[in-house]
Amino acid sequence: MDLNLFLPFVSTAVMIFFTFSVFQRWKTRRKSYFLFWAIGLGLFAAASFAEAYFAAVGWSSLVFFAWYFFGAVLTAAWIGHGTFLLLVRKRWGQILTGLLIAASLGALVLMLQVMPKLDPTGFDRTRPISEQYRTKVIEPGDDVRPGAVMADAEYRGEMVTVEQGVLPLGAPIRLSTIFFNIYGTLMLVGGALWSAWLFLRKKVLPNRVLGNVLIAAGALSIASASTLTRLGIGSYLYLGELIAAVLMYSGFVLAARPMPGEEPAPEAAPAMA
Amino acid sequence: MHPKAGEMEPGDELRRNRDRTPDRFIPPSSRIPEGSRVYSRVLPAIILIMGVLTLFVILVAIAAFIGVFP
Repeated sequence: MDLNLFLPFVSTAVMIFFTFSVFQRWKTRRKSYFLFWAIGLGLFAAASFAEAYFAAVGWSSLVFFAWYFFGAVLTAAWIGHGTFLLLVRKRWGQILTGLLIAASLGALVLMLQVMPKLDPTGFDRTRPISEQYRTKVIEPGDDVRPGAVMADAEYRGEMVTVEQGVLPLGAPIRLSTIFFNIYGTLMLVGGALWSAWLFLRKKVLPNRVLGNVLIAAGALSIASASTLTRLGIGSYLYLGELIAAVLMYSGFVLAARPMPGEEPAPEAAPAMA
Repeated sequence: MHPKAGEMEPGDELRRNRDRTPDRFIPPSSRIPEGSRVYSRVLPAIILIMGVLTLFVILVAIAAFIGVFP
């Protein structure tokens, strides 16, 4: 098996441990930010598992649903929202929580609408799903991947030549991903960096400074890989996910670890922010 | 001229609020060492660079969304 296709198995294992750790904290502390982090990380784990499934078993519409809806649409926003809840007043948290849930339900409707239109004709399990999920218009002079399934399609009133992907051309669900992911990236990376800066400024808890920097670096890794995928370079997504899983989990463990002689603080959030 | 027992002096409220912060749980061993170059120079620079990179990634994503979609 191609090494790249092996990475999601490792990512899935790391993310399961990570999700379980955060979920345990939520069970102990009952803080909403732990719950959103745990849900978001669980979605990340499900998306990584989907990639591993595609590599090991092959095509499944249900698994594609998990990969795209949980991974590409929701994960970043739900993890980032946990950080938002940690950093802002409760009232703003309630408003944004309502908006996030409503937007997620709206995206679910769009995802369910596109499910009957999925086209796995060109799916190849020896290649990452991130390289084959989208249908793209081929302009004269564009490079076409050997073995790609080409087709003619009508788009915005014109006939165009496309390289066939799993999602149909112009699927509205793709419109939603940018909003979820920008919100998630801003909150998660921005929140972790902000927290690191606050601890640095107060000159306390070096473990949380470093932990937050690691979390931000992990989140930035997956955000960069996702942006490359959006640009049509999907081969780095699995590596970006693995780096994100390892860095974020390491950051979480480091930030949550009590310093020598430190009493457990009642509000000591492991600074996944 | 001195406050009676139980009365507050100027600054008492400030001190009391400060004592409620998580700082009271932090022993000296959990403080960032004074004069550390890593914490005074390197990490602030890393935080700044990562902040700029984050904005760059978001801007590229928006540009790709506008220009590349579908």
